[in-house]
Amino acid sequence: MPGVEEYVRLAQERGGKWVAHGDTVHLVVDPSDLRPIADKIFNEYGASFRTCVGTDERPLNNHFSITHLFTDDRSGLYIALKSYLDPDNPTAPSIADVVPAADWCELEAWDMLGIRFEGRRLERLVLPYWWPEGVHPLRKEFDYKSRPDVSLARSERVALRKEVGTVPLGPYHPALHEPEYFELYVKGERVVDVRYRGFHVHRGIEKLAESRMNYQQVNFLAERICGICGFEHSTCYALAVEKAAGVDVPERAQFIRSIVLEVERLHSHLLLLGVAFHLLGYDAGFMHMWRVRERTMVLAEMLTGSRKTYGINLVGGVRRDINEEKKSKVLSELGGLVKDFKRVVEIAVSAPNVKRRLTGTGILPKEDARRLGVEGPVARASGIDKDARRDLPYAAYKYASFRVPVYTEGDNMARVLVRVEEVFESVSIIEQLLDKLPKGPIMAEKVEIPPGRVGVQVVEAPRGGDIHYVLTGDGRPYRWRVRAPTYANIPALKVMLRDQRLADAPITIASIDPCFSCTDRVVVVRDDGVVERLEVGASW
Amino acid sequence: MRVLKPVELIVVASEKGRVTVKYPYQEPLVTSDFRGAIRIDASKCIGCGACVKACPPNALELLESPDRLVIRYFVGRCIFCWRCVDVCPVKAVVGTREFELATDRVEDLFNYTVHRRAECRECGSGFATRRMVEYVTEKSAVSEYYANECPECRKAKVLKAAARRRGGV
Amino acid sequence: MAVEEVLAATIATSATLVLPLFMDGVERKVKAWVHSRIGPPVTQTLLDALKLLRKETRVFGPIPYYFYLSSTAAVLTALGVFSAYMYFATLNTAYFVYTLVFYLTSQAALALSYLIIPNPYSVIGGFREVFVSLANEPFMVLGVVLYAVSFSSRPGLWGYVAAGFSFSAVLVASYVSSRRTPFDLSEAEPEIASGGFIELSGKALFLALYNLLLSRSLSQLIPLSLVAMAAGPGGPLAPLAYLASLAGVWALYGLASTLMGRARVDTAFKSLVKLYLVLIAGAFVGLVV
Repeated sequence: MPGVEEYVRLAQERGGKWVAHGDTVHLVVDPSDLRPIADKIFNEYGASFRTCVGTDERPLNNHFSITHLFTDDRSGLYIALKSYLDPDNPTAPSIADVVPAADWCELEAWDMLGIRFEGRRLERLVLPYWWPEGVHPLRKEFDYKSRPDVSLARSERVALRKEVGTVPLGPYHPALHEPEYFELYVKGERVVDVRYRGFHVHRGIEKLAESRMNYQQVNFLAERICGICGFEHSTCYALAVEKAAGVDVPERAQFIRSIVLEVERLHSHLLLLGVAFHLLGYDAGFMHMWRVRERTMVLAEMLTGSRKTYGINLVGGVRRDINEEKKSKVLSELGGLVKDFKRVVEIAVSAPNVKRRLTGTGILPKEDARRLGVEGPVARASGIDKDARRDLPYAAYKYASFRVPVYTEGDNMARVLVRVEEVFESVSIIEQLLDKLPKGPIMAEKVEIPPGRVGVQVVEAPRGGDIHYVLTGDGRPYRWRVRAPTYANIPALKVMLRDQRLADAPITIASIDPCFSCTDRVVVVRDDGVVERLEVGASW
Repeated sequence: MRVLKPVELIVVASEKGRVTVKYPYQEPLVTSDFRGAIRIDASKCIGCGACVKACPPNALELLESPDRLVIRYFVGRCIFCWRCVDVCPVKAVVGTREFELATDRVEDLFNYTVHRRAECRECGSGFATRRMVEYVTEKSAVSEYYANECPECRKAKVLKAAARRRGGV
Repeated sequence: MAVEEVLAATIATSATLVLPLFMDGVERKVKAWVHSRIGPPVTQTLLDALKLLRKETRVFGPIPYYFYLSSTAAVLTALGVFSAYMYFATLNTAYFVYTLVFYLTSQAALALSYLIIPNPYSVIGGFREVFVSLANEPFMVLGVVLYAVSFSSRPGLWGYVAAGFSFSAVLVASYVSSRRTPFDLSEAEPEIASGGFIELSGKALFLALYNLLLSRSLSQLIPLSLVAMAAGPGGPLAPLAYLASLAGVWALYGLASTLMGRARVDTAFKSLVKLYLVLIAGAFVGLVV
C-alpha cells in the first residue's frame, strides 16, 4: 500500500518539489511529467482521481497552474499534483487517455481558463456555443459582472444519425425536475447509443466566490449548489478552508456536522427511492416513501432551523446546538422512522414489476466504473469499495462504526439496495454520535485565514464523494473548485444505457441519483454534429 | 403468503390515514425552530452596518447620503440565514417565524431604517449616525474627545498635532 | 324485446356514457387514499375534460382521420355497452355476441387511431398498445367461450372448476384492456417523450381520454355479463343494477392498480401469456376431465 514516501518519491525522482502536510501530499512537477506521474498514481497505485483544478495565478506568480487531485482511499491520503504553466500560452499534456475520469475537468479548464491540453480533442463542454472565442471567465481579468456581446442566430441539428431513431429526453420535459438532455438513439426498443448534453444552467459560483463574497458568506453560497445535498457542500467547503488555514474546530461542532450530514443522507436516499418507484409506475411506493421522508425534513428543521439549506455551517464551527431535549426527540423520531421505512421498502420491492424491472438493467461493469471514476452508491453497486467517511475520515466519522454496503451486480437493483442499506447505517451513525456528543463550544474562538494556503477536502455526499479545493486569498478564496459526485457519474450513463431497452432509460438515468444542480456549472454545445461511438474515456 | 405482500400497502394506508396538511385551512407544518424573515427594531439599531457586511445575498443594503443613512431590507433577496441576527452588536435585528410574505406590490417587500447623521463639530458635515456616536461614547468614555468629529477632521487634527510635535508651529 | 327493457338499457347506456368521467374521479380518490393523501376532487376529471374542450386543437396532417377513427371507436363502444345492458335484461346470447364484436372493433379502431398520427413517438406508443391487445384479446374471447361452454354443458364440480378458471381469465383480460398500471404502456414512461397522446391537444386529446375511459366501461361490463349468465335474466331493472355494480368494479380495479408497478412491453407480453396459459389450461382440465 503506497504511503507518503512513495508519492513524494514520484516528484523527487523527476526533480520536482513536494510538501506533505497533514493528510495532503502536494507535488509540484514540470508539465511534461504530469502524464507519467498521473498514470502511475491512477493505474499502478490505484488511487481515485477526483478532479483537476485550473487556476489563474498570474497576479501571484505570473503563471497559470493545473492541479490534479487524487485520493488514495486505502491509505487515507490526498494527493495534489500541480504544475505551473506559461502565462501567455498555458499548455499542459492531457492525462485523459490514461485517466479517463479526467476527461470533463480538462475540458472545463480549457473553457473557463483557456488552458490548452495536448494530445486530445478540445471542445466546448461548459460554455454555450455562442460564447465568444478567447474569452475565459475564470481568468482574473474577466470581471464577474461583465457580459460579452453575443449573437444567438444559430440552431442545432438533432437526430444526427439517420439509420437509427432518435428519442430526445429533455431538456425541458414535463417530467424532468432539472434541465438535462439525453439523446437516445434507438433501434426498435433497444438503445444503441446516447449523447448527453448538460450544463444548461451555469451559475458561475466559483467566480462569485472569488469576486464578491467573503469566507463566511461562501458557506451559504455553497449550500445552494444543490437543493438536496446542499449541507454537504457547505461542510466540505468549511472543512477545506479550515484545513488550509489550520483552524481548530471544536469537537462538538464536528459531531453536529456529522449528525446533520447523516440526516441529509436520509432525506436524499428516501427521495431517490421514491422517485425510482414513481418512474417504475409504482406511485404508491413514491407517496409512502416521501411520507416517511417528511419525517426527516421535520427533523432537519428542528435541528437546524430550515427544512433544507440548513445554514448552520460557518468556517470554524456551527451556529446551532443540539440540546438534551432535541437529542431525545431525534432518537425517538428515528426509531419510528426506521420501522416505517422498513415496512414501506419491503412492500415496494415485492410489488410485481418493481423487482423485475430493476434487476438486470443498466449494468455498469466494475472496470468501467473504476476507469470513469464513478462515485458513491453507483461505485459501491459495481463492486468498488469506496467511502470517504471511512477512507478519508473527516468531521466526527472516526467515532462511529458503520458498514459500507458493496454489491457486485452493478444493475439498477444493486444501486437501490445500496441506498436502502445506507439508510439503516445512517440511522445507526446518528444514534452513535448523539450518544457520544462531547460537551464544549460549537464555534472556534478565533478564525484567522492566511492567504496562499491550499485545502482539499472530500465529503461523502449521498451521491458520492464531493471534493472542494480552496486556495485562500485576501478575505475571500482566491480559487474555489467544486466537483460534485454526479459530475463523475454522468459519463458512466453512456455505458449503462447502451443496449438497454428504451423503457428502462428513465429508471437507469434516475438510478445514479443525478443531481444536475450540482453538476451544471457550465453549458455544453457541439458545433460539428458528429456522434462518436462509445469508447470509455473518449470525449462526448 | 409472499405474493400478497403488496396488498399490505392498504393496511399501511389505513393505519397512517391521510397525511396531507390542509394548509392554508390548517396550521402549516412549521416547528418552533424555523427561521423566517427578520425584523429590524429601529429603536435599537445604531446604523453600524454589521448586518449589511454579513448578509450573503445583499438583502440588507446601506444607502448613504450626506444627511442620512438608510438600512434597506429587501425580503425578496433574503435567504433567512439570520447571519444579521448573529452579528448585530445591539440585538436590534430579530428573527421571526414569518414566511408567508407574498404580495403583489414589490414595495411591500422593502423595509427602511433611517438614521440621522451625526454632525461634525468642526466642519458641520454629516458622518456615521447619531446613535453610533452615542453607542461608542457609552462604551468607551474617553472617545468623547474625538467621537464628535468626522473622520476627515480627525485625520486633519492628528496630522496637525504630529506636525506641531516635529518642531513646526 | 320489450319496450321497458329497451328503455332501461337506453337509460343505463346514457348514464354509462357520462359515468366514466365521474368514476375516474372516484378512482383517483381511491388511489389517493391508498397513497395516504387527499387527492383531487371527485369532479376533477369532468372539469379537465371540459377544459380540454375549450382549448386549441393543434392541427397535424391526418387529424380529420384521427377524429373519424376515435369517434367511430366511441360509437362502437357505446353500441357495445347498449348490447351488454340488453343482455343483462334478456339474456339473449345474440346480444352478448354483439357486445364482443363491438368491443373488438372499438379496440381495433382505437389502436389504429394511434398509428395514424405522424409523430414517431405516437407510433411507438401505438405499437405498444397493439402488442398488448394482441396478447390480450384472443384470450378474452377464448375465456368467454370456455366459460359459456362450461356453463351450459358441464354441470357439477368440474363445471365449476372450468367456469372459475375461465372467469378468472376474463377478469384478467378485462383488467388488462382497461389500460391501468401495469399496462398503461401507451402513455407510460413519463420521462420519455413517447406515447400515443403526445401529438394530441384540445378536442383531439379530449376524445382520446374520453375513449380511454369509456372503453373501461365496456371492458368491465364483460365479466359482469358472465355473472349475468350465471344469475339469469333480470328483466328491466337488471341494466340499472348492473350499472351500479359497474361502479363498484371500477373502484375495485382502481384499487388494484395502485398495488403494482408498470410493466415493460416485453415483460408484459411474456407474463400475460404465461398467466393465460395457466388459466386456460385449468379451464380445459375442468372441461375434459
